[in-house]
Amino acid sequence: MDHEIRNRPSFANIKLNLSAGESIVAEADAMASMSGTVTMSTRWSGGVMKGIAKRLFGGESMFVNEFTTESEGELILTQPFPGDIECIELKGNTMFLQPGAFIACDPGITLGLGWAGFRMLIGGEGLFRLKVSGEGRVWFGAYGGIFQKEIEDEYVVDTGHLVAYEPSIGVKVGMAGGLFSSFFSGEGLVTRVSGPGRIYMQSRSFDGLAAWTNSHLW
Amino acid sequence: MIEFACPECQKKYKVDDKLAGKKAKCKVCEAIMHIPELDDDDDVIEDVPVEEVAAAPPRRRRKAGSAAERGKTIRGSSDYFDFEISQRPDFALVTVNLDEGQQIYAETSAMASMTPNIKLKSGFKGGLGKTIGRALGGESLIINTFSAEEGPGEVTFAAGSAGDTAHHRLRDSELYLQRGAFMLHSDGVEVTGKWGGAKGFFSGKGLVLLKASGDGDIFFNSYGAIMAIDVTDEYIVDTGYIVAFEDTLDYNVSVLPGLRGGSKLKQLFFGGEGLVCRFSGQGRVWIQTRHVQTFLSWVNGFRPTKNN
Repeated sequence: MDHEIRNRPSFANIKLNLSAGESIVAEADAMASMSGTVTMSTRWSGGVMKGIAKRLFGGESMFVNEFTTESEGELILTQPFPGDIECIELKGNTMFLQPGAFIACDPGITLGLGWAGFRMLIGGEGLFRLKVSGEGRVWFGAYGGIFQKEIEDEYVVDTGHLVAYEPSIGVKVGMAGGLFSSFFSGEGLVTRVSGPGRIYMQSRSFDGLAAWTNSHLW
Repeated sequence: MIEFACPECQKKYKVDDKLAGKKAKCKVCEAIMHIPELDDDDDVIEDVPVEEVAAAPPRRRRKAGSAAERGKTIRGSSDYFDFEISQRPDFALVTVNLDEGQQIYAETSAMASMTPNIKLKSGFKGGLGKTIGRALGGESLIINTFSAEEGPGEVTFAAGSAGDTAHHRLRDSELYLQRGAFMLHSDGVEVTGKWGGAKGFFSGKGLVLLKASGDGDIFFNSYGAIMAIDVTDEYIVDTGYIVAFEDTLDYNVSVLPGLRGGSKLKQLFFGGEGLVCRFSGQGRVWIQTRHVQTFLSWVNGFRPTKNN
């Protein structure tokens, strides 16, 4: 099945052309439109308990939708916020996604929850991260543009800008500078990632948007 | 040699100095080009203004199809550092490469990522008066200083809102910035508040300005795309769309000509807005293609109201 990510980067959406027997798994509210020949079935995301866990901790919905067709048809998937969408192809390897980033995947992909550690909760990144593994494509989205970076040793990312990373990447939360600077700089806590591996970042953050909005509402 | 690019197809040309100021036809698209005058200053950067370099197709450095490549990336270097503004105009991201010991000063919360050898220090810069001036200009009291220690480093900066970022090189000149537009500056630049009169500051209608002066680089961001307009005579901009302008311009805030002497009803329809800034003289104005207050009042209508 071929796919195309269109209207990048602001209003990116995924257009998929399904042939007979092919299917795609998508986040519960991702479908924008589809051909009449495409049928949708809703199921728990990896079982009842796992589904609830994903809702509670992974920032994703309890259910996923599976789209199939007996002939052929097209499917358009979107994400809730303005921003870019990226596609990665997994060949038996694993990728971690930040809560809320997942949009869709091929049926060969397993969605799981990974423990991110208590420190990540302090950093505002959530206690868990979404673990995608298996064979196939994964689509994930961001608020803002998506850009990737190969990390050799260490790199500092402001919280809220990290979207996805490889399992070889170590993440820990630290202060942006000294005690005074961390508190007054507006940067607060940052995520320190260590390589080797690849990370995906978004060029805007929800915190930044909220701060900008609040500063103008007076 | 004079280096320039065709304004239509971006084909780059190098021509002999004696052709300065003459016209030529582009070999590719046959558009008529004006060959720029030779700049006596041997500073290479300013021979081709940054805005024109921006239009050149981005170098294929990243993986094809990656987000950073699609926009028109601005690359440039100053006396202090190399920089790159990518992902324009939707979600502009500024990447600054600092050599050891170099510094850049940023608005709070602007940092998106950095190499671990960059040290962040925040503090009040420029004394009490200037700090308060900045605060009145809609900026934080605090300025963050990023400095590279033990080798070169990289910092990326992003604004809070969706939009573009522009770079301007100050050469012992002054630039006025709209409320909230300031993002970064290099050494040699001072950002202060400008007292635009009580009306401007407190009514929320007039111009609330920051003044950047000195010799160095300044980066400012917008909500929406940024357009640079070279004013040669007179130009009128709605106050909400101004991002920055050079101090060589005279400016005068007034009611939109069509509203002048109009009834209260007319002004009501404009929601109390309708103030424009009339620029005259010679200089550059940067305007944004979206209006912050209009957007936020639109959003505000959808926010749930508290029922106490």
